[in-house]
Amino acid sequence: MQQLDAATRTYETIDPDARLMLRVRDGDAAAFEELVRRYQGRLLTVLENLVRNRALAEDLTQDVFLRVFRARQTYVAGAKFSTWLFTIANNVAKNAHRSRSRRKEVHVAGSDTGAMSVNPLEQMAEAASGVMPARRLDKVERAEMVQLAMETLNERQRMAVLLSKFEGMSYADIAEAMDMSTSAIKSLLTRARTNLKTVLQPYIDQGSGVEDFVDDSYPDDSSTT
Amino acid sequence: MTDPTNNLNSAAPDQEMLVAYLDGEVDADVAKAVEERLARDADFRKTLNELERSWDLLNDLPPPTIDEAFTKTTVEMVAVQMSQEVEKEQSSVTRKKQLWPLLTIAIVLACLPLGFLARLHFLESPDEQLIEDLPVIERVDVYQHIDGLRFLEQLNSEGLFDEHSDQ
Repeated sequence: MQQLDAATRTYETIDPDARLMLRVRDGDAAAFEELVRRYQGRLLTVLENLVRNRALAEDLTQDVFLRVFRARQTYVAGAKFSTWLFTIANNVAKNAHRSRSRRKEVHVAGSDTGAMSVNPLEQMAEAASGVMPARRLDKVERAEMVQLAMETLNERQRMAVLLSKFEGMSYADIAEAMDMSTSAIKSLLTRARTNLKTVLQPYIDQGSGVEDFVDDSYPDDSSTT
Repeated sequence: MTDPTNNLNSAAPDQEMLVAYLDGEVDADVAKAVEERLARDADFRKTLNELERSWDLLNDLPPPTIDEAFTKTTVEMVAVQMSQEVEKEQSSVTRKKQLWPLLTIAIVLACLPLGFLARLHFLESPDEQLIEDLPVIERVDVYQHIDGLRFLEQLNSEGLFDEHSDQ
């Protein structure tokens, strides 16, 4: 109990979003609107890339905010507000995925091992075979390829990747949001990123405008004596 | 000193370590070991480079577009929720207010038979009183001629009221 009190005081001090949520708890409607504005884009980014359906992602985003509002009276700043929010988002997404699976509306791509989708996408299959794309892709095409690459991951891998990449969450925070252990998240992200690397290999080789990691601090092999 | 990056032979632990290193999730000792190996191991360096580049490609995912209408509907939805909560609370208060008079009437009605039964049990029945006083009633004609208590005491001391005196 003492640890929770200490954590609560910490997050109330360092997390401005936790302070906003406490104002929502106390009946401040403007504070809630501010939280919506701050997080709707971030939630949509994660949820749309997760469920691959804009309309559904919007519904889920609003569902998350509704749940946040309903829970306002018992809110305690025991963690970062974003961690709590994305815990709810993960739960909402999982429930949506279960409903969709039951209705068999969507073929669920990927497995726990991160193997390629049973329903291979033509371009991804070509990429995995190592065939270089005939030409450099423009930004829109690259975006589509990356979206397709994300679809080769299973839902948990995708969620972990999105929380890590776009929310900058630590493994501990992702673990809390996804109700998994930190070591499980580490393994999950490793598999996800390894799979992404494999699938996007031709586009990595093509170059994306990102500076090569091999900079002057690491001598080139040819220069070693 | 053993190199923590070379403990295992398979590629999987290397990948896990590199991913954790890129995410800033390794301690200082492991980070130092990773960096030392990166300096001498080209394949290790290549793997890290590819992991980082594929990660950076995710930046090409299109950002969502949010319009004001979405924000408005989200806030309105919550406002509807709030008004439903208030309505529910108010109808609960109204039901309680309506309930009190009914409850009072019910208590009174329940008390009536209870009161009746209590009266039957606890108050003296006139018939019972009569039964108790029967010996006196049977001799009331005689008692009318008695002047007072002193006379009765005198009669009692003479044994008039003994059982055998009736014979």
